[in-house]
Amino acid sequence: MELLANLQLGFEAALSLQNLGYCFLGVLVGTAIGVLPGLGPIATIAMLLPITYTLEPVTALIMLSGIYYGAQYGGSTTAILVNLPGESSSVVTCIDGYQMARRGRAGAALSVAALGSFFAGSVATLLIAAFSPALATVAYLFGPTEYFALMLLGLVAAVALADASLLKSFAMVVMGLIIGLIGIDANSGQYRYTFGMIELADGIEFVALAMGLFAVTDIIINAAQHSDRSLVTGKLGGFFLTRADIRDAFPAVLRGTAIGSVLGLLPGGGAMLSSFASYTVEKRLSRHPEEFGKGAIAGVAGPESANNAGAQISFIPMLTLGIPSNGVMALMMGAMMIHNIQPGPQVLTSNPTLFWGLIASMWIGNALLVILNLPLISIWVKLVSVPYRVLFPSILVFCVIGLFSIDGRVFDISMMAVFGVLGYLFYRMQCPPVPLLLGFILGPIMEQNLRTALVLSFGDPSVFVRRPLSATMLAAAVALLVIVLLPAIRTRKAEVFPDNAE
Amino acid sequence: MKLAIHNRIDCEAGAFFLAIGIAVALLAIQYRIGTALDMGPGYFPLALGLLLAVLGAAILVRGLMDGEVKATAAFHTRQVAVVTLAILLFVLALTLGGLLPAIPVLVLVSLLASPGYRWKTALILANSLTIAAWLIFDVVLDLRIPLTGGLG
Repeated sequence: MELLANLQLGFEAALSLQNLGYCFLGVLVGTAIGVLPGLGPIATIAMLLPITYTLEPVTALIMLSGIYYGAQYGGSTTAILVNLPGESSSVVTCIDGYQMARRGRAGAALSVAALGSFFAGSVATLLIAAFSPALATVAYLFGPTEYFALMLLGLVAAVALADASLLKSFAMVVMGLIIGLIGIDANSGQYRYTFGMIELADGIEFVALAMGLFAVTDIIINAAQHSDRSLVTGKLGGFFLTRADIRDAFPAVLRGTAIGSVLGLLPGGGAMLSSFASYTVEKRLSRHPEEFGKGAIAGVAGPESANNAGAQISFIPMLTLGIPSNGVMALMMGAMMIHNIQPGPQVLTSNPTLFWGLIASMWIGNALLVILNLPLISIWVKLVSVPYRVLFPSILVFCVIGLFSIDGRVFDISMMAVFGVLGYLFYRMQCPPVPLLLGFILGPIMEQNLRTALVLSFGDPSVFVRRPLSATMLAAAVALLVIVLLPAIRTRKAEVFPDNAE
Repeated sequence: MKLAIHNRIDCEAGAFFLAIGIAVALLAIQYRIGTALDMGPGYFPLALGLLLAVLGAAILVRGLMDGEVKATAAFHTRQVAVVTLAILLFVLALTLGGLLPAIPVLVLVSLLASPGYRWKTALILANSLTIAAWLIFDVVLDLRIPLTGGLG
């Protein structure tokens, strides 16, 4: 019954006029930007983060998470309508969603994606509400030793499960940890890696880093291309699902939700891994596997439910343990820290309104998406064909002004340009940027915990293997690495992620 | 014997990380390192720098041994230069003249990154974005960014 009381507290917070308004604004803007070509969810959130600085912490987080699942939803819309995934987790939606659209059933594909996502989101919300407090209780047993081991495990898992070269991903994590060092060392007052620039004393502004690596880099890559996208589909078709559609889609939604809820807990893939896994499962279980690739509704319903469940479940490790499992969660953590809230188990007790309000808002946001998206689809369709040469200057304008508004320093804008170029170099060297972001956010916290742990153990590093909890986590990290490095898994991973060249 | 590099992508990445790792480690030893019990500001950076250097070396070696040809894509020199220049000119214009002149500078310059520059559409876009930014950031959000006259 405590759960009900907590949820009631959450809904009271989330249903306040202001929070409801910002939730609505978040999903609306998120969907619009998700539909627009060339901006993934990380770039979108980074771009809009500064706007939320002046808001109350709860309101800011509600709006940001609204942007997140809005952007995801927008990504599936473009996947169905123009065969272009707005982001990695809607890659598989392209396969059957676009085929449905070509057969004049775009409306049905969009409906099933919306309803499947809503169902998955509702289940995920309940799961978060039910399991987060328990996980937070466990986290209270953690000291600095355990925290350091946990963050190491989180980083290893995020790298091992992601779809890129293991060595390069690790190098990028370390790169992020190093960039996180820049500024005054909190313990000694020493300036580290500031190269005499007083502006670097407080460290790199993390919004500048995120905007540079994700928005500016994307612009450099895409601006050269003439990518005027045209809609191939003439008619959307009806939004109503036939009885046969429901019979095929419903079990897929259930399975997708289950898959997403489990895989979403893992750092790394989250939403993307869930959608790939769900598609594979549906194809294998289907009585008409030959339909897949030609517009099978289960091939849309399953992955769409899975990616939404996965995306939302990935809030659990961030909210309860303070471990970001993907780039978006790293930005959310950054946003919380800006409002002086250290993500971790203490949020649940020190800020219950924020915690439960955010969870309740996820359900409300998902409901809003269903209500909002189907009627507005004609507007989204128009947004899809906005030419990139109109779009990228707009993105730049938004980024620079937003960045300037944070502290009123032009220095941060120049840093964004630097990270844009750096991000482009990484792109050419095929080094994934998300691990860098994770390392950057966790770096300072890890160094602090490492220092404290070693002070408490009188400088004896064996404390990490002597304490059972931390030893278990380190063993898990090692085991994960071994598993990933085994040749059998490597080929399997290549199958799941067909094009890991990018 | 001439060493043939097939996999340029990994070789470049490896060399990059190796160089950065060494630089970070060299700078770290100028700070106090300390001991595990009493860590100085250089302890963690030194460890990270060495780790990055090792990872970079591993990527480099793997790249050198790889027989598969993986060429790097053509460098988008124009886009890199134009986007960087546009942002830096924005900073300059904002500092000297405030937001209202700075936005058109950013838009007009950054558009050079995409092929087929058309003055007319560029001017229309610059104007509409300036008005939109003024409405959003000044009127609605009231962020108090100096519109004209530059920063103090």
